[in-house]
Amino acid sequence: MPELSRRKLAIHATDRLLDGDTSIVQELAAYLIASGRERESELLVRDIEQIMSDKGILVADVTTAHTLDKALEEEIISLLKKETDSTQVVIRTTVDPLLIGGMKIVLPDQLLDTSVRRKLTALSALKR
Amino acid sequence: MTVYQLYFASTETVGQKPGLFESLGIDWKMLLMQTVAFLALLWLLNKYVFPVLTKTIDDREQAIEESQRAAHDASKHAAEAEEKMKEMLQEARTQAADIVTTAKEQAEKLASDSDKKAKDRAERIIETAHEDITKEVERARISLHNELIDLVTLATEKVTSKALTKSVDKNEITNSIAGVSKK
Repeated sequence: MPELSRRKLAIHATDRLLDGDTSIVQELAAYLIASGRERESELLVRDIEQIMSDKGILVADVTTAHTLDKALEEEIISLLKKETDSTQVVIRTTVDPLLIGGMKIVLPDQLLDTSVRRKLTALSALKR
Repeated sequence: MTVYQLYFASTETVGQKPGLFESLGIDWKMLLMQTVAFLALLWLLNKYVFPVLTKTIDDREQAIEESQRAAHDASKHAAEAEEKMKEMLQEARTQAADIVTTAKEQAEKLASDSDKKAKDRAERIIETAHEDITKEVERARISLHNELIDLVTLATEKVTSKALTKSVDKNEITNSIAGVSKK
């Protein structure tokens, strides 16, 4: 089986997903298993998200200590659209009580962490 | 009766005219006989006695001279030996004095070095103790600092966990978004 680069796979997958073809996900999974490249799956997803971001479609992981209501989600999406000049923003929300408060937004090439946990970690880092 | 008495008795003549020797009272035959006897005696002495005596005397003189020479030599050697002994004694005294002086100096130096070494050692011990104490204090300070941070972190976590309700958290998130927007 000829080995395709991750970049090429990501480009192909992005094009098909933007066309509305979601079967590419299964095809990619099968290909990765067949070629023994299962460990690259996360990297591939990141590559796809990066290409989508370049095309103006942003996928963001938002983690908070409590569930977000719609209004807040909209605020976050507006913020991300403004800050990244994206035409479309899709957020994946996760609840992690360990954050205590605030939020953590993971973008393909950026990280925004205003959580209380990060501040406490920064405080702990002052130890000598 | 001796030979001479017998001879005089035989030579006496009666009625002869006295000669020159007779007028002087000298018997020339007797004189001649005595002279011959003397010469014979002299010859005998010269032949058999004088050489022996002379040799003996010469030997004795030689022995005496040798003895004198030996005595002189002995005396000279004794003087030289005495002189040499004096020199050696003097040298020995000088060397002994040098040795004593050197030993004193070395003893003083040793004592001085020992003092200095002991002082240096004591100073090093004190310096090391100071350094150890300083390090210990620093370690204690750091440990205290870290413990404080841990306590503060823990306390903050506990307090904020209770204080940050959903509504408070929502305000917190809103403020964060506003903060990011302003930048």
